[in-house]
Amino acid sequence: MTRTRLLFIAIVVCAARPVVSEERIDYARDIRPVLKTYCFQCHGEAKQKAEINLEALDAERSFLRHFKLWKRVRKKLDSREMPPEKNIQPTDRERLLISNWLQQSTQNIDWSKVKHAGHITLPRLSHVEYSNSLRDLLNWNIDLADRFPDDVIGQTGFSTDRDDLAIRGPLLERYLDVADSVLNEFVRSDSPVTTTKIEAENFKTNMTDHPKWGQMIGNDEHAIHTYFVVENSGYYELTVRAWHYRKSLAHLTGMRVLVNDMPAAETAILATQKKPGDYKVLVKLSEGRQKISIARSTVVATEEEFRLPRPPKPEFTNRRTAYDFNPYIAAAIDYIEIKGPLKQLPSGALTLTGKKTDSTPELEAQWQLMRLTKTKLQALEKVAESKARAEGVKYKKKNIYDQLLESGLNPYIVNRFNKYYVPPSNENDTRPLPDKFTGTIWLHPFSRVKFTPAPDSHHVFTAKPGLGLVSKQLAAKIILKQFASRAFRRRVTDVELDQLLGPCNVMLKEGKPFRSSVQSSLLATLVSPHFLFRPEQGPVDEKDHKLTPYELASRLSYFLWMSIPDDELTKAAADGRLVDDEVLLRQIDRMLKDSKSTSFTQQFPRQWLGYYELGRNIQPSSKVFPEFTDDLVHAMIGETDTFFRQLIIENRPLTDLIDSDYTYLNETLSKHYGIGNVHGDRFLKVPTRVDRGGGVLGMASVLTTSSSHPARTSPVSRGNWILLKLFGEALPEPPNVPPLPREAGTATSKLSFRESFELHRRDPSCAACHRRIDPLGFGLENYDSLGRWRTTIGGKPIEASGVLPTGEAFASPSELRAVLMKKKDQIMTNIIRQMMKFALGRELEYYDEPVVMSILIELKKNGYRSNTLIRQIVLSYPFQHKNRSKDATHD
Amino acid sequence: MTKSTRISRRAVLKGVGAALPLPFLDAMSSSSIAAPGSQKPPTRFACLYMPNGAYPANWNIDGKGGVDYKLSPILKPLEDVRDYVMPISNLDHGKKPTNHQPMVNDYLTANGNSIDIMIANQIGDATRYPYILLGTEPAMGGAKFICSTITRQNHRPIAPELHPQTVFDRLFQKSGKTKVHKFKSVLDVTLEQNKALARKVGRLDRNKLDQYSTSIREVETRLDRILNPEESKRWKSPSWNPSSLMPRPASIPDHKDVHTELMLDLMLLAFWTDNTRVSTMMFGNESLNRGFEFLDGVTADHHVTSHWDKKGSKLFKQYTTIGHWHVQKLRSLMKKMQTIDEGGSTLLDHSLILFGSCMGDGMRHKHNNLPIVLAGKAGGRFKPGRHLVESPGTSHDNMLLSTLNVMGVDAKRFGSSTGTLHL
Repeated sequence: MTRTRLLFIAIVVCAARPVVSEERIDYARDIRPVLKTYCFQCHGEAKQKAEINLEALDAERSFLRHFKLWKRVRKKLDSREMPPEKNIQPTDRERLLISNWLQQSTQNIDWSKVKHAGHITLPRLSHVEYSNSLRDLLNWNIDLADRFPDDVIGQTGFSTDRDDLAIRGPLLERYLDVADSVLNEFVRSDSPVTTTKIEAENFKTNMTDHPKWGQMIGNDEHAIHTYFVVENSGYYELTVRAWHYRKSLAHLTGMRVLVNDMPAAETAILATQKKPGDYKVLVKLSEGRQKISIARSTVVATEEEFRLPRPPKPEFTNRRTAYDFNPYIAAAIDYIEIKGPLKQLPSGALTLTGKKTDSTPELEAQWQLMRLTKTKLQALEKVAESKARAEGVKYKKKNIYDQLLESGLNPYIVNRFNKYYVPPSNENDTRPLPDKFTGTIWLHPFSRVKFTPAPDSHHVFTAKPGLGLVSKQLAAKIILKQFASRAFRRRVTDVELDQLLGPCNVMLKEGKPFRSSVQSSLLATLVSPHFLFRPEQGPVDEKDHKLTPYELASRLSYFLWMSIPDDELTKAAADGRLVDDEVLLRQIDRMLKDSKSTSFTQQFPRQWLGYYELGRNIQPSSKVFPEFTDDLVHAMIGETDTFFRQLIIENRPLTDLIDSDYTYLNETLSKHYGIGNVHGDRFLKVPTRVDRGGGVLGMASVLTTSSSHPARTSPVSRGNWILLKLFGEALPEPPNVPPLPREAGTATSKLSFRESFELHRRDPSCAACHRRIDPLGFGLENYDSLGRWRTTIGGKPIEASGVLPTGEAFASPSELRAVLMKKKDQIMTNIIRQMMKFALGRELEYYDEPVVMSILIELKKNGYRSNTLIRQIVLSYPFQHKNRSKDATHD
Repeated sequence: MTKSTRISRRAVLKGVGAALPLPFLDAMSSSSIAAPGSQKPPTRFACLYMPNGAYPANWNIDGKGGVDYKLSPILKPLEDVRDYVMPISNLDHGKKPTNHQPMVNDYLTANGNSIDIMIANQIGDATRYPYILLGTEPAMGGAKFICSTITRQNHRPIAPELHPQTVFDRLFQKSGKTKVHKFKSVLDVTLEQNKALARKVGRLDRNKLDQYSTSIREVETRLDRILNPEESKRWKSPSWNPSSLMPRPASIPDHKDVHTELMLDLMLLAFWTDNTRVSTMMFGNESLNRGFEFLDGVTADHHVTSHWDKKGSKLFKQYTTIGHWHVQKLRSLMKKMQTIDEGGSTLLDHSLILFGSCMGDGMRHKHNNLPIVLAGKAGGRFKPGRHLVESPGTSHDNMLLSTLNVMGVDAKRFGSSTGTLHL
């Protein structure tokens, strides 16, 4: 027996589930009779349901060959799916006996004989990978992931699961549309900035013109509008020249600018005819015909605005003004100007990155206003109606504004419609208008626009026709050869290149412009199976083969960057240096330090620990926890993201995930925990408080994600979470869960929360699993549903003590962490498995077990340093080899 | 302040409303301007999925089948459309009560394909999209992903679309001829490269490339149809008027009720404009701890309330309320369908709607007495307006088989079906 095998068995034994009997189980004596009684009638010589014949298997000699089948048997038995309900059922003891025998046999496998690369189903890029790849191909900071429906999270628990990444149904259309629109903007980024002026008299309206003043501006339905054809998508500066000439005592004249019937900005107009205002807003326009409208709006102004002098009488020299039909307030529009596509953000322009820090109360109100749809009002009305019905009172259509207020709408909006503030009059004021109300005035855009500077397309358009004797066809070929090689992550073949150039050459023959002709071939590259998939071809046999250097570079780069390899990595692959482990290790270090590795350091922990679901499918009750805001979600996710990223970058021990004396907080979370005194949005390293502790179990992201009940903590689901996510052990789901009494855990309950659980656990069929998970979950009871520290619940002190079935006792979260620390090798084994699954994009098979174990040995040797794990995975046999078949052929 | 300075609140609000989604509901009854289509209106299939079962005591209908039956409390909202609905009692899923995943997995599916896909394969080639899948809750991770989808194609779940904006764009985005020609020439290359690649990869990978090839051909067919609209078999509803179109939705509404209505409106639009004839909508994910707090008296989430059986707890009341909300949404879709004229009859007359859940009583994950309602008239091929009582234990697959047959899929068996319903 080899040394590896000895060590391996030792580890498996300590990682094993508790075995009831230590006695050796004999197949012929103990197991076969049981199988004969319950299984052989359907899965034996007489009948082979599902083509399974257990009777024919020689479990003594060929256990390994049928390893997968036996694993399935164990799963079916454990989940009680088999035998079928209508058949006689084995006793619990018999089920356990089989389970233990299977485990014992697994331990006796001679793993040194097992070596197989495994098969990774033809890897399609996940949407994150697709977005990153396009970003790096075009060297343009774009994020496209949200333009696709969510990728399936596969059996591995990760969205990199290649089994579930395919192109079916409407997805191809999406690839075409997204790539086409991105390329449009990219290819035409060299297009000049144009300015178009449209006079107000050329606007259309569905209202009758006024003989003297021109067109009237109505509300949204009767807005004046015009159409503008955008040649090149991008950001545009939209300017409206406007002024007001009459105002009432109570209102200001305002306008709302709409693009394609969606509000872009809104403002009061306080400039005058002599000193008109250029009201500007940044808008994103896509190629094609765009509708631009200006609608009247009424604005309740601040006191300062009301105290402004009255505007002078207007002079209407021609029919190019538009005015508000309300006789008491009036403003005029002279023209609009549309300038773009912008290469740089104009100075003074207001953008919104979508972060709270950019927000003002007024802006928040505007956003809410946008979402205030007619149906929403109807829904609110319905709610009020059903409420009235339930209370047995006649429903009276309430003042809609009261309903809005009740619905939690920002009072700013409600006031805007409801309360009319009347400031003192200023009839004879002749002061000049302050400058801030005239001239260029940038408006806050309604929707959150994040300005991305225009890309530089020179690194893609590496050749220009006409220089020297370069023909258009040749220039296109030079461009495509380089682009497709980067996109395909290898040298593109001549045949492929000719195919890709097809659309371009057709367009060139038709006399189309050079750049847009090339664009069609760039598009062909981006929907090619060689780009959307990462094919790893090889000989047609079913043996293990070493990856080509290009394939290895590609696997490495999709593991650590979730994107295409860069020039340096490609070069190392091209000249064959990458097969040298030293070179490979240096590349890993370099890649981890690059900010592109953020995708990996975010996606891996988010999907492994599940906290990407926060604010998505995990929504604690908004009634009980109104403090669960977007801002808090952002902070919770940020803490764990940052912690994990620093763990990797600083090469810290992975055991920090179990317990640590530091964490990373921003202002929101610092206040939420009551720890540290952090200001601002950035996450800073902060020492943890001794009682509260560190590691992922001290993080609000994990504590909220793992506690599935919307209104209180759920120790059961937290305990289950620890087993599943930290130890990698999935318990069968109970067929039925009698719920706790409703008042459990509240102040009115006679029993404490914990006592009601004990009651719940008396049922012996429940106890088997609950004695394993409940103590773990109760050990975290000091953290409330949102991960805040507490010492009492419903007035009673927290009892965070527990004893695990394996005997370890603890009395507080910190002691629980100490217990988990003692089991760190089990947890580390799981982390190795999880990261291997993420990196390979496939489920682990039995032949991967020796690899997992040898990585654990390396980890222990190196103090569990995070980079050791990443290096060992990259150096491992399955990462560097490929096979066409999933199943190993050996005896 | 004089009275006339005051701008009517209603007017201001109306102004707001107009810029924002859904004035099209008002426009719906507007008289037609388009010439009536020459063909007969096609039959549409809608599948509405309610997760977590329904409270049996308030779902089950007392008494025998037939026309004179009394709607149960949860089904009460269907009173004014009762001529168009047929609740079915005693259907049985036949699966052992385990966890949610296997039950939802087989709800619409046998042998790897769900009936919406099978129907789309039969009738979907006439429209721009063979089917449209809608939902309001994001996919769940890991093994629970299954709980977020009921549609299956070749054993693979297909996730629904949550963004109203994306659905809207897919329905109404126009493709110019230049773009279509460009896409076509690009896809020629893609197909060629895909075929070449498929010859070089192993058996396990070829399947994926075959799926890609199928996808490429589907898109090519659609592009051809844009270039040759006269060949289109698309139905032009006489009542359709482009001004009926709602503005492009901005984002996902934060209120579940509003989001749901919006998605149902999009389904309606897709049927009305014959962009598709098959659409499935998931009201929510199975076994998800997410609240219905906007409903009066509801404090726990749908899944928790479905385990209602505890002395002293009033969870069954909440469970009922949530079931009631789902039925209201069914009614809402039906009422809207009724307002769409298709030349003397309505969209509802030409639709078949399957509403239901993969479990009966959520308390014990019961597989029997599933809450199922069929609605609409399927162009006269289906006669609603009664309560259908099958014998206890009748396979749920019988109902799915009948549904397939009504929708023109010529199948003799489906899953473990033992026959069809006694329609």
